[in-house]
Amino acid sequence: MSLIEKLLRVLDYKGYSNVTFYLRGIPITTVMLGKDKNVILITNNMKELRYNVVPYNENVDNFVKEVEDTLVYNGVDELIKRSKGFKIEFNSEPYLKGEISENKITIDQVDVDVDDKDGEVTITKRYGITTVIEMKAKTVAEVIGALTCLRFT
Amino acid sequence: MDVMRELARVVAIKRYPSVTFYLNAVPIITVNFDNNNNATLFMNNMEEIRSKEITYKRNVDVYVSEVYDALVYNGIDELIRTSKDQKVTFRSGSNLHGTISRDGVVVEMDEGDLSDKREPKMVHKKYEISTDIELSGFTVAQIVGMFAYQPFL
Repeated sequence: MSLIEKLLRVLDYKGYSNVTFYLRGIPITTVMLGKDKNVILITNNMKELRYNVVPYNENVDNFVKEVEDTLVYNGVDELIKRSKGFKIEFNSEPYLKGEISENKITIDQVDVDVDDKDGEVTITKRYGITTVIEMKAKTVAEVIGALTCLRFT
Repeated sequence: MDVMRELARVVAIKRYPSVTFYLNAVPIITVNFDNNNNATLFMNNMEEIRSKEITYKRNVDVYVSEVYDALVYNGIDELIRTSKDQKVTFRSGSNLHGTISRDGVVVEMDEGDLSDKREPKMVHKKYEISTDIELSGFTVAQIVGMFAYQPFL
């Protein structure tokens, strides 16, 4: 099973529209998933901020390849490879927080519910995916691919 | 004369298509100018990266006000005001870089020229504008305004 399939089994909310990835606490990529299938990527390679649009044509593998190419072209891949030992964090309002590290992805999904006494209850679901995960742009592209696939299918 | 107009006198009258501002060596704003008087601002408020398009309508004061509003709305103004680093640096291409601090603005430029013997040489120019500057989004907006204003001087 590919990483995207594993992620799709875990993610259960279709409404994530903005996802931001962080390296050492600094945003390196923000992905905007709008209503049309043109996905906007704004990248920070620590030299400048850049903007790209990647269309999603129902083929997630092609999409992931294009996102990966964009991240490589804009210098984000090199940035990640140079920061060995650091985790990549990502989050998306309102529910999602995740962490990518060597060979592991952890995902926290927070849900707010109401109990029998009408009090607010926060339910956190934590999932860990252990598989071969390399710290490079391809992994980030796969996470973006899974969230895009979830939103548009 | 305000900082923007003093800077416009100093920086050579030519078009800089892109300028990036840094705080603690992290890019916080990249502005891309196109040929239709549109500027796209990419802003990194350390939580996410956002974009905003602003059109220059031949009134630089209105333009600066719009850029400042965008910087306030997107959290950049607060980021600059609360930063412990007492300076914002900016860079355009490989030949222009500057520093904004509370004491003034320093701009350094490398320009290609010809020597007496018709041989190409690089000329390094450094300009200092000493004045009392508030380190905030407004000063950054004024410098963005200067870059947008220049081709129309």
